[in-house]
Amino acid sequence: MRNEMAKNIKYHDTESLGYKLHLFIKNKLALVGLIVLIFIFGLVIFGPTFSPYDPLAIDFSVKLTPPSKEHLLGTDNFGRDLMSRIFSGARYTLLAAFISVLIGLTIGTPLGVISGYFGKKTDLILMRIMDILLAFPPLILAMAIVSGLGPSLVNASIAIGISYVPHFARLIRSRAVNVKRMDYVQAAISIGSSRIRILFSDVFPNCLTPVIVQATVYTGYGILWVAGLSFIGLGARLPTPEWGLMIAEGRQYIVSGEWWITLFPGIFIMLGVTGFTLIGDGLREVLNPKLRVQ
Amino acid sequence: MSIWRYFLRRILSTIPTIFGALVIMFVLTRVLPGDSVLMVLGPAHSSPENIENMRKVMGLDRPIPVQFVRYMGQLLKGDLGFSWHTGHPVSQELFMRFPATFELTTVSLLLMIIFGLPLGVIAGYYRNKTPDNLINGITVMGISMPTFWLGLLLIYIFFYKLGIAPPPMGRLSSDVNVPPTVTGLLLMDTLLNKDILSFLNAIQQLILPGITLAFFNLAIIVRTLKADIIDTLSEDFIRTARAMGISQKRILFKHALRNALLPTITMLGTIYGSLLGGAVLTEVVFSWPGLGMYAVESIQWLDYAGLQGFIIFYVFIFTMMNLLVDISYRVIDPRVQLD
Repeated sequence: MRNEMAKNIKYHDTESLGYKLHLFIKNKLALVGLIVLIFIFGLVIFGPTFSPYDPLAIDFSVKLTPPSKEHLLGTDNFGRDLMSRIFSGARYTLLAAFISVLIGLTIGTPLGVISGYFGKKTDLILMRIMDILLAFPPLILAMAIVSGLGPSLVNASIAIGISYVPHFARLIRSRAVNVKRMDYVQAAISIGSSRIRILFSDVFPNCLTPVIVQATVYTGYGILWVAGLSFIGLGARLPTPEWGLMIAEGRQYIVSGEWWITLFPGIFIMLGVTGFTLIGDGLREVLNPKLRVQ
Repeated sequence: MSIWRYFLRRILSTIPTIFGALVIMFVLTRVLPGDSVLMVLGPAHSSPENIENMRKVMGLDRPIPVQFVRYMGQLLKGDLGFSWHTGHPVSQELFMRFPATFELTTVSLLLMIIFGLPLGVIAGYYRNKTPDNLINGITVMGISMPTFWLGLLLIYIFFYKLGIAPPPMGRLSSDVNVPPTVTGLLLMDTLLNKDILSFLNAIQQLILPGITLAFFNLAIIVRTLKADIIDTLSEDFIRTARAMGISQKRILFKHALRNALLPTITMLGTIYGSLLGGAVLTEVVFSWPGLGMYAVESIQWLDYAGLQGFIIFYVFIFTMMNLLVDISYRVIDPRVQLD
C-alpha cells in the first residue's frame, strides 16, 4: 500500500499518459500480451515473407511428415508445409476477426449512443431489437446469417460482426446514460449547444473507454468464432490456409496419430486469443482508475 | 409490484423476443440474395421451368407478406418444414436428437459444478497468490482454446496414445447392444434394459465430449464465483464466524460459498440454456448425433429447412431457460429488485 502511494506521489497526475504507460508496463501479463500481439501482427504483415515454402504448394512425396529439420512443423496430407501455411494464414483469421469487430463497432456504437442519449421511445425500441439479437448466441446467429449469404470468410466475419452489434450497443448505451448526467454535459446544454453537437463532442468521446477494452477482447473472441465457423464449413474455403479450416483438415488424421496438423494451428489461435485477452485486461485496468489500487 | 405481476411480465416479455427471432430468421432466408430454389434443385436440375415450378411449390412466387403469414401459420402448427437430407419432418428430427444433446449437456454441466465450485472458492480465498494465479492460468487457457481443438487433442491423447477412450464416433460403440428407446437417454435406457455393459460404454463415450464442453465454460463459472467469494469474505458475518473460531474450511465452503453462490447459479443456468440448444462444435468433433450435429449436416446438405428449424428451436430453448433462471433467481433471493 505504501509503495502504491509512493508511486502515486511520483506521478502527480494519475490520469497522465506517462502514469498509464507505467501501469501498463508494470502489469506483467499485459506486457506478455503485448509481446504476443507484436508477434502475431508481424505474421499478419510479413507472414508470407517468413514462410519457408509456398503455403499452397502440393508435394505428395513429403505428405504427412512429422516435424523435422526441413519442415519444422511438419506437413499436411497434401505435403504442404504447415509452418508456411500457419504464417501465411495469420492474415485470414486475424483480418476476419478485425472486420467483425469493426462491423460491430460501426453499427453498435452509434446505436448505443443514440439510445442512451435520447432515451425514451428511441431507447426502448432500439434496446428491444438488441435483446432479440442477443437471444442468438454468436455462433448460431452466424450460422443463420451465413446460411442466407452463403459460406465464405467475408460472410463469416460479417455474421460475427452483426452478432457483436448488440453487445457494443448495450455497453455504450449504459455508459451514455451516465455521461448524459455529467456536469460538463449540463454545462454544454446551458451554453446552448445543440443536441447533435453535444452528442458528438461531449457524449460520444466520453463513452469510448470501455469500448476500446471490449473491442480488444472481442477481437480475440473473433479469432475463435472465425476459426469455429471455418471448422464447420461456414467460413474460409479450401485451400485457404485459415487456421480453423486447417484444424478441420487435420481432424481425420488425429485418430491415426498425425497430431501436428491439428496441434500447431490451434496453438497459434490460442496465442492470438490470449494476446488480445491479456491486452484487454491490461487496458481495462489502466483506463479504469477504480480497478487500480486494490 | 407483486411477485406474480413480475412473473407475468417476464413471461410476456419472451413473446416479442421469440417473435423477433422468427422475423429475423424469415428475413435472412427469404429476403437475402441467396436463392434457396437453386440450393434445393442443385445445378443439374436448374432449368428455368424447373425453377419456376419449384418456386410455386415452395410458395416463393407470392408476395413477401403473404409468405410471412404462411410461414408463421406453419410454425404455430409446429410444422418446421421437411428435412430433405434425412427424409423426416424437421420437428421429428429435432425431437429424436434432443436426448443426445440433453445427455451430453447435463453431464458437462455436472462437470462444471464439480470442478468449478471448488476452484472458484480456492481462487477467491487465495486471491492474488499462487493457487489463484494457477487457476487463473488454467481458466484463461480454457477460454482461449478453440473447443473443437481441445476435443481433438483429447481424442489424440486418450484414444490414440493411451487407448483408454473409445473411438470418438457417437454415443455407443458399435460392439455393444443398443437398448430399445424409452427415454432416448442412453444412460437411462441401458439401465432400464439391465445392460450394464452398454451402460458403462455410454458413460465412457460421454466423458471426453463432456470435458471438452465443460472446459470452455469453466472459466466463466470460476471467475463469477471468485468475485463473489471475495465480496462475501469481507462481510461482517464472516468475521463473526472467524471470531467464533469456526474452522477456515467450514467458513469457506459452508458460509461463504452459500452466500456467494447465487450469481454463479444464474450463470450456470444461462450456460446450460445455451448448451441445451446444441453444442455445435463439440458434437461435430465427437460425431455426437445431437442437435448441433444435425444443424451442421443440414448446412452441408444445403438443407435449409433443417437449419432454420434448429435455429428456431435453439432460440426457443435459450429464451425459456433464461426465463426460468430469472424467475428462480427472484424466488431464491427476494432482495432482487423488481424494476
